[in-house]
Amino acid sequence: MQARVVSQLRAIVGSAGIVGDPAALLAYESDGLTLKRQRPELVLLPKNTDETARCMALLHEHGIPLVPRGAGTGLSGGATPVPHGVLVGTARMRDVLELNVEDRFARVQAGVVNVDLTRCCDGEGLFYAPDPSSQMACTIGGNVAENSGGPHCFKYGSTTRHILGLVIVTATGQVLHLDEPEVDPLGFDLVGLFVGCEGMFGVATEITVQLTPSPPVTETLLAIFKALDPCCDAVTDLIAARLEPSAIEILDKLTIQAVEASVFAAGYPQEAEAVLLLEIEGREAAVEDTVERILPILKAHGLIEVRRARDASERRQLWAGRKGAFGAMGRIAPDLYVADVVVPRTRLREIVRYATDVCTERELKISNVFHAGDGNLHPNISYDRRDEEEVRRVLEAGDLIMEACLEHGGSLSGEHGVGLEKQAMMDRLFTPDDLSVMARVRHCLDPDERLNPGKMIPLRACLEVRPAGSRSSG
Amino acid sequence: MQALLETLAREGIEAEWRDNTPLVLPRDETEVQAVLRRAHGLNLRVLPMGLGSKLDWCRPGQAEAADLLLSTRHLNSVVDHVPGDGTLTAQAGCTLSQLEQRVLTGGHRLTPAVPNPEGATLGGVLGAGLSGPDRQKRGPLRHHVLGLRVALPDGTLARSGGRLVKNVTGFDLHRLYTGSRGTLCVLLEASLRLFPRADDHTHLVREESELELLLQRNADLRSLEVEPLAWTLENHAGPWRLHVALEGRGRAHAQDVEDVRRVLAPQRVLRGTDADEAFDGLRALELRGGWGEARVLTRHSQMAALLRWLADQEGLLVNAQVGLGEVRLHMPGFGQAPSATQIERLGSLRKALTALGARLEPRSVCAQAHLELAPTLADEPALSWMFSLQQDLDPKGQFRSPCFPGRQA
Repeated sequence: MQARVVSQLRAIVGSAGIVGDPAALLAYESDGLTLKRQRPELVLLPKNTDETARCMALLHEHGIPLVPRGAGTGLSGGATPVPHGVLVGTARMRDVLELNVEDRFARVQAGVVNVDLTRCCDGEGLFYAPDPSSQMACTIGGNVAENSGGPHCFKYGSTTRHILGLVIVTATGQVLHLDEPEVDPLGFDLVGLFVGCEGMFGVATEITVQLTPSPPVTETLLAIFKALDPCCDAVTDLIAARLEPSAIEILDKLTIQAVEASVFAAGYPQEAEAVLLLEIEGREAAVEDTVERILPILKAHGLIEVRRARDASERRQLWAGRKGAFGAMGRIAPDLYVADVVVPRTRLREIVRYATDVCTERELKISNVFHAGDGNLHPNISYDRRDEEEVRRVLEAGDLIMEACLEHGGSLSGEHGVGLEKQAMMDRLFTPDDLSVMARVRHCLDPDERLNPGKMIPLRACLEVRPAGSRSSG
Repeated sequence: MQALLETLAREGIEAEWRDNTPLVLPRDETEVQAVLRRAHGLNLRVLPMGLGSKLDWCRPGQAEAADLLLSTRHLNSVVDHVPGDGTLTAQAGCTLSQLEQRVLTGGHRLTPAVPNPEGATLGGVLGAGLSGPDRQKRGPLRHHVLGLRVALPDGTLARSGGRLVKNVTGFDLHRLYTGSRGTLCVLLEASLRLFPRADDHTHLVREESELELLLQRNADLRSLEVEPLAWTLENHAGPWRLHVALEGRGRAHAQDVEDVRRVLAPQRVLRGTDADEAFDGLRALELRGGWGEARVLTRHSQMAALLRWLADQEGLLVNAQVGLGEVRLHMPGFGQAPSATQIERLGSLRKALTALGARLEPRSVCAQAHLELAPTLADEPALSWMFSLQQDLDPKGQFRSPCFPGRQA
């Protein structure tokens, strides 16, 4: 990159807002998908919308591609840098700009960490509902880009349901103010369109989120099963019975053992083949009623024991185990491939079983910890990326699991996004016309494809799927 | 045009005349595609519709300006209903009534609870971005659309999303299409999330001649831990009425009813089928033939001030979803042929509401009034993005409305 451009960018963001030292850039080579790595030319860390817009206008002027990045906790390679490109990070945009308790919304900068937003509302009887497992580190901006989920999205829905408004900066540096915290958009639902765009429409710099009243009563149950299959079947039956807990999570034996051996130890029984972590929220009578209806279903599927969190401290501990599970897997092997697929909730058992078989056949270590209530599976494969042969088997297993999900009416991603990881599978799920329309919509805001290029929409013979005649070479 | 209709007839595609405009009634996606391809080749302006109940507020004046009306009412099959997964996939021409009955067999409800579900198609409801009184609990329809299949003006068929309750694969184009009022595509098929049907229903109503006597009770309701199915303040029958509709089960439901009763001090408490009928009455408040309709949006904190101001205006019927910050206004005489004075009054109404921090959106008003009131987006770049999306998906302007998304022609 030309020294003159770097100098101009430095003038915008200051020395603290630019990272160019090769050693420091190592930290930005990948997001949570460590299989894909690329060192960026430069990392920019603007402090606000204005700095972001000025940086992006300058990058536009020089035709430099860029990749937006929150905390880099994404697992699909959405924030993997691109060759000769710049990373635009939101790490210095950490301010809560407005907290409106009466109208139940908050306006925050994109770099605010998910859990900090809920902490900020603590005491006001409100919370921010989407709670990805990485919520201690991931940012609201990153959540918007990936339409992140989390355990409690079973009741409250993914990020998109909680976003009221956005300020975004487009590829050219133009600033768009999308909607006020009112009930419906004026014109097209651009906010809904933007959420989940994986950084390909623009960089969100300010976000208005809906806050949710804290439930008066929360009951957390840990149901212990003697096998994984009946645990899955119990969830299928809970859904069929139209019961509405706020979270339904499954952890299998290998996950339990990893968690219990780690700093996230939650008191899960290590002899169990599977546990079901359930949370039920609401008014006292409603919670009791739901629990009474849940228990017979669990018992019908071989429940060994059910434990109730006795207080908030025990509840936090149970959830710390669940949310720390991915981190705990580091005890099994140095690297972890976290698959993220969705299936109809009537098909949980067979896909979980299939994923286990596929990995066993390939001598891979698989553990399962997933949002069972949403049909959102995370078969996790532990491996060592220095072993090329093992990496090959991991990727093969991942592809087979995704294919099986598609065959059973499932989808490629429930909450992590497509990014680089699943890009090649997109044409298994969508027709060329489906993908072409996506590309056309993307081109409306970024005709030069400089924003997070080469992600999500698959490449075919060096040509991204796009409308005929829009561009002839790639 | 006659030649086109004859060609379509030879291909077995049904057509009829509606107010001097040909109305084609394809029976499947292939026929929709065939109609659109021909219209595209001939540069015909096409107006997508369901049963046509919202033609007067989606695209005022456009029904007359269209070369061709295209109704999806004959695409009326349920494609996939999976009660065990709580999802439904249906073609756009299914009526809401048909779908409500279908999902009930699996123990579910559908949102939105629109007025006259027999006369509303799924595609029409999605295209218009409708919501009903149940939005208080269930949220807006766009949050529950899992996926859509659409036809673009050139006949291209495309899908986004899927049939799963959780899915982030690809861009959420279904969010763009929902509420796009027929300006981007013809909706063909939709997948929806379903909601468990509750065992118990209760409808509580307090009536007062003065709005002021209800506002404090209304404010107190918000502090309750209760999650109402519907929460409406209206004056359609003369006096002001505050309705709270509750659904639930057993002891928990009884607790909710008791809490609301304590705050509301209702004159009427209806249960079971009586409650269901009362809820249907709330749905039906939308139906006011011959009246102009507009919607006012504000923040919850501004709602009491807004309602006080509206109560002082003459001849307005108010239907406020108070928990949401949404008021639907019915205005006598603002239907098909308002006078210049009446249109001027509309302009004043809009100005006054803007000063109150509220936004007025015209719905069922004549084209002239619509143009007077057409909301404009303060932020021009956002509007440019909308027009760019229209231009890209509909380069010939076949589906384009002069009044939507927000700039006057």
